[in-house]
Amino acid sequence: MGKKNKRGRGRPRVPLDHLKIAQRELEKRNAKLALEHARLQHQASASPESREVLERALLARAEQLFERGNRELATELLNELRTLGVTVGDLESQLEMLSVRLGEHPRVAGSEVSAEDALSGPVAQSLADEAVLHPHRRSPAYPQWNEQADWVRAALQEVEAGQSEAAWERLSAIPRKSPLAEWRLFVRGLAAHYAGDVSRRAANWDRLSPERAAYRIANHLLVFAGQRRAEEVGFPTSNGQRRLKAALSGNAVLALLETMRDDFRARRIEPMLRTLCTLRQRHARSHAQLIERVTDLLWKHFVRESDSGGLFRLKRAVPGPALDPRWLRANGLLMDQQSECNLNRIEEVWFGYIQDLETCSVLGDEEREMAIGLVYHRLANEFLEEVHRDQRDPFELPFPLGRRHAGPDEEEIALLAKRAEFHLRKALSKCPRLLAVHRQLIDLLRERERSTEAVQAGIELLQHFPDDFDTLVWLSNYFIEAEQPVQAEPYVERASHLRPRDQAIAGLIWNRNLGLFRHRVRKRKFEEARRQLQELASLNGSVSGHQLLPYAFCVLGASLEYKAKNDQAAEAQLQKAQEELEEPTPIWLIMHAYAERFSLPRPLKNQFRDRFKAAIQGACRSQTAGHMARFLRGYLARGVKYVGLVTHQRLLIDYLKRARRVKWSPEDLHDVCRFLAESTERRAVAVLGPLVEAGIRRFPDAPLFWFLRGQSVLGGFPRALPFLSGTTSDQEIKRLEKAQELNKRAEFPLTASECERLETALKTARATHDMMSAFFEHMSFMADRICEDDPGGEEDDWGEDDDWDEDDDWDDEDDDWDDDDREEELPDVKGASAARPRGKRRTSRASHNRQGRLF
Amino acid sequence: MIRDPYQVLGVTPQSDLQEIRARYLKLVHEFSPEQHPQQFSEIREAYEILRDPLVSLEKRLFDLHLGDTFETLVEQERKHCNQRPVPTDVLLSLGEA
Repeated sequence: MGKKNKRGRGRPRVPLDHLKIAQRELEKRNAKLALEHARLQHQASASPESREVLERALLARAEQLFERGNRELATELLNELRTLGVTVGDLESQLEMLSVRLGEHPRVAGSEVSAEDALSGPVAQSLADEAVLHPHRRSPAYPQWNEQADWVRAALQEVEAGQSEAAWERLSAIPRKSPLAEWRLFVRGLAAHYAGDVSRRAANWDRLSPERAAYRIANHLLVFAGQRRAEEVGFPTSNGQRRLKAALSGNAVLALLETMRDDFRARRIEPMLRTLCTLRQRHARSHAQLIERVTDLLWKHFVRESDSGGLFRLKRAVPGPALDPRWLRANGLLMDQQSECNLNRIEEVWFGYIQDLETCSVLGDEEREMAIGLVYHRLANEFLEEVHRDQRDPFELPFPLGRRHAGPDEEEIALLAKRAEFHLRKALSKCPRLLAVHRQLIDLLRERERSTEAVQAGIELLQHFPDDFDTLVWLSNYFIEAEQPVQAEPYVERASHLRPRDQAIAGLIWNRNLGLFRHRVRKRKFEEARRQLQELASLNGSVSGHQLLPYAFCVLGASLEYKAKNDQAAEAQLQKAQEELEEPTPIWLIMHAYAERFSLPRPLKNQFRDRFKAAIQGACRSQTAGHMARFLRGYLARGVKYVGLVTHQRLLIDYLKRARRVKWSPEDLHDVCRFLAESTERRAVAVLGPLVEAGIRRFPDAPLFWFLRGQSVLGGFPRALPFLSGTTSDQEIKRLEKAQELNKRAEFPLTASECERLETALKTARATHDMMSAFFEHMSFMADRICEDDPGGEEDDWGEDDDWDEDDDWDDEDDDWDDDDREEELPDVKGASAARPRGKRRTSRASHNRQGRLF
Repeated sequence: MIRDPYQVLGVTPQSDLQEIRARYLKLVHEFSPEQHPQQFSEIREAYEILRDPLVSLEKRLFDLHLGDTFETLVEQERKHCNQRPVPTDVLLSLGEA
């Protein structure tokens, strides 16, 4: 017996449930099988249930056949369904839809109703969408829609080709009432989407109906662009996203970029550069700009990190950027980043880069000149930085805390300044619009005491920047101080026209009038000079900081009258001046100075010199010292010189040295201390100390004395001393901080330049203190280690460190100010930064030990 | 890292001042300081650089902090990729229910 019979005998035959099978197959969209079983079921036992399944199966199979292009069989089945009759309500619209798709016109109730109007809205929309999506399934019943669908497809292809204008023109022919009008919104939104125009895209796509195909396409695109979440759109998107990804996945550039980004993050330089090479080899034509940007990114990174190795490898991997074909700019900037540099080498590199720029096609002619000017400026800055190294870092520590090499000497500075000047002038010749370069050139020339050339540079600056207020004021002041008030006139006028309310202008006009007075006296225009003096008297007191006391006016008047040979009037003026003061010493000082400045006859000069020398031998008085200090400080601050200024300074310092038991007024003591701080006389420093201490004792709320005290300690050391002795304690910082605090509410506040110096001093003090603390901690740690390694070796030397007490050291130092003998040991430090005593403790054995250990 | 001012404003180094200004005004109108303070300040900064040709050139030549990062480049390339036209047949296939 065969297997078949055996099996049949074993299991009893169960009749098939065609109804269930048909339903299941329908759910599985297996319309053919579903129809077979539905027919069998309906033939075997007709019931309403079997009839419904048969109707559904017939319609599903007819749709399936239509979609596969078999219109004849689909029509047959549709007719069969019609013969059978549709009893299921929701099948009627589908039947209507299919019949229209098969080319049948809908049944029209009235003759006036058009075929389009006879269709329900959703059916019409569905037909229209299908006409666009599937041209082969179009219904021949609506040729006008088919034509419009062709326009839509053509418009979409035009948008794809970047011809949006043509697409809009084409779609404008679709009537507004047409079911295809929705596609006009879609196409406009699509063009905006590709152009990145979010607002225009939203204006079109937000109006799409969610039932339409256009809405689905738009949302697929939005989800793919990450501008909408998949959950928000209301239909499954995964298949569509897959298709989009597949269509756009040809972007190998993005993949390479992502690989490079990951390698860059992980600091895998070699693989990253290999990927860059690949990118360049494969996409150099299509992505030249991107490759340039990646190269730009990388060289800047390597330069910022001072990674010369990385830069070297990059140079091997890709050619130089268009703006730097030989990588010289990158080399120059890399050298800037490195602390140790050779100026000649830097100059050579930048000169090479200038040559590259001269032939650079990326820049226009004007831009090229500007670029070369900027390179020269950069080069000039390199030299200027070296010229100003002493000023920049006055408390620089020696190697290894500071830089290895010492600062340049005077001869070197002169050479560096010369090179800097050359580059500045070259920069200006290429690009005269570089205001900063003009200013730097003026400053450099002034520093090198080449005033005439500085003035010429200032005049050139004004040719390009006629409204540069600072230069106008500087030139005005220069000519006034140089006793050329007539030349100053146009600059004063221009500056006062630009900023009539500026405080500097008021001072400028005062100085101009004073200068004009002196000029007219020297030119023997006595009447005009007298009128000028009256004008000055009328302005007196109106400008803060520019005020003459009555006795000073009398002295000016006396000088004028002596010059005019009116000795009697002059004597009368001097008599009047003497009545204003306790003693005449300041008058003789000023008269002696004016005798020189106004070129009075020699006997008069000698007379006032003798009177002054005799008078200044007397005991020191607060008022007298204050007036003389105020007068001389004016000259020192402005840098104006006259024959006898040095002697006057020396005599006044001797006079102040005797100021032991003077009852100082605060104004006088302030002026005296400021004079001493600005004096170029080396002995001024020694005299300043006790006076500052006296100021702190008597006027503890005056910030100037705290500032000078703190600053003198910092500035008084020879360069290496703080390093050797480990000073710059908290005390100095506290003093400077106290000066800063007191200055906020002081009756006698610091001047603007003093405030600026205070800020700098504080900054330097804090930095030095932090550095020294770290250094000594490190040394202490090293000493401990050495002691552990070699307990018998140098134990005694380092043992003394434990006894070294920083605070004690400073306490002793405070006393130094009152000790005249110690003052004689002060280091010879010039300038306002003043000095601090080099106490013996400071070079104590402990300190020497540290030094010896280090080196 | 400051973004490339040309990119921020969407102009090229060849654009003239008029074009740069027009683009700046359009962007400022779009990104108001109240609603987009960060973008606004970025646009403003970029314009300040580009309006002065000297400053702009100096930045282009020497500013080591001016330019792209890999993140911005990848982002831009991805955006560019997303905005690349989808083939029409693929596009229409997305309309299926």
